Amino acid sequence: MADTVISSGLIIDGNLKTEASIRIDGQVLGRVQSSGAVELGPASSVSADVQGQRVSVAGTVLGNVQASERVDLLSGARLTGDVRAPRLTIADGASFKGKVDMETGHE
Amino acid sequence: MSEERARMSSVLGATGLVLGNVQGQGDFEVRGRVQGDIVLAGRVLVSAGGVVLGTIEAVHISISGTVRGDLIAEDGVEIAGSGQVEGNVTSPRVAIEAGAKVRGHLRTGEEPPAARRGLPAAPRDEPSEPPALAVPVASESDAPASEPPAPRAAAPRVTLGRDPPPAPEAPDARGPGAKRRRKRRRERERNLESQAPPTDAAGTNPSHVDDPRPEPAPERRPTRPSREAAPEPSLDGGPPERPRRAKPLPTFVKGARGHLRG
Repeated sequence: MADTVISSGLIIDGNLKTEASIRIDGQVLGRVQSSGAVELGPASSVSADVQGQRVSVAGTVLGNVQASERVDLLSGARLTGDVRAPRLTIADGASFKGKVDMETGHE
Repeated sequence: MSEERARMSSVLGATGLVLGNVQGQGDFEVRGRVQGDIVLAGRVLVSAGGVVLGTIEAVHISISGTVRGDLIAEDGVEIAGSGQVEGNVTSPRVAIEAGAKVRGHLRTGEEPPAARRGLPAAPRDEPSEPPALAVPVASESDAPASEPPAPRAAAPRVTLGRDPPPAPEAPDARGPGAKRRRKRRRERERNLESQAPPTDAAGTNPSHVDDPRPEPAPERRPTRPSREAAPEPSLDGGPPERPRRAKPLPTFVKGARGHLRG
């Protein structure tokens, strides 16, 4: 289980930063920054830039997503924003609007 | 540890940092650091090592870590021996374990915070500004007509508010065009008298002509009278010098004098 959990019903109005993994099922209006994995659950709604090592999105994101390792857009994900990661998967059923930058070494 | 996690639905990890406010429902455990307020319909646990710089409002609050800010709980507050609180604690029930450090006011056994929040409303004692505007108008038209001359005591307070500099010091007596102005005014009055039946305000007025300013009404609330009386002076042209005095106060000087210029 993730080190930090924002469950549904919780709203963070501001930046969230951690060095461990995060799972978000709630709402974040602000930056999400992690040195570990970031998991955005199906119920999550994030209006912010998301940064992590591995970012998996199953909810709604309005903002840019950046990962040092990979980004996974799972089925049901809605991402509006740019993705910057060396690897990107977009599952069937995910919606994505934005640009992708997979150039390595931009960290 | 795992038990706690199972219990608390949301957790901010030990390395976590929230810059901003946290709100919503559910339980929230802080092991990391929150710089901002936490307003939650649920329980909040600041575990050992957790830091909150900000107010915490929740149903139940448990502190084993550090909080700098007020604690407001609907149900209860528990401060463990390792807890440190710098701020006021408001809750029907408060438990403080031996070893805990608490600095601040403690209010227990009271109504839940909802009632408390009503307190810091604005003090309604002084209707200070609006009256300052309205009083003189009321007095001008009111004092001569319906009331005995106002006591002078109230005058300074009122005049402080705002009296436009072109105070009626019989300014028409001199200056260019004075004669013409007087003449016009007389003409207008004659017209008005012929058209409309003269109000008693017009008749009794001249006694007050000489002291324009210090006749404001006493301390009674001025807003209503002003409204009732306001239309009058515009209708009755009043005796000589009257129009000037009837509306010296509005700040839109142009409009106030417009009728004098024709």
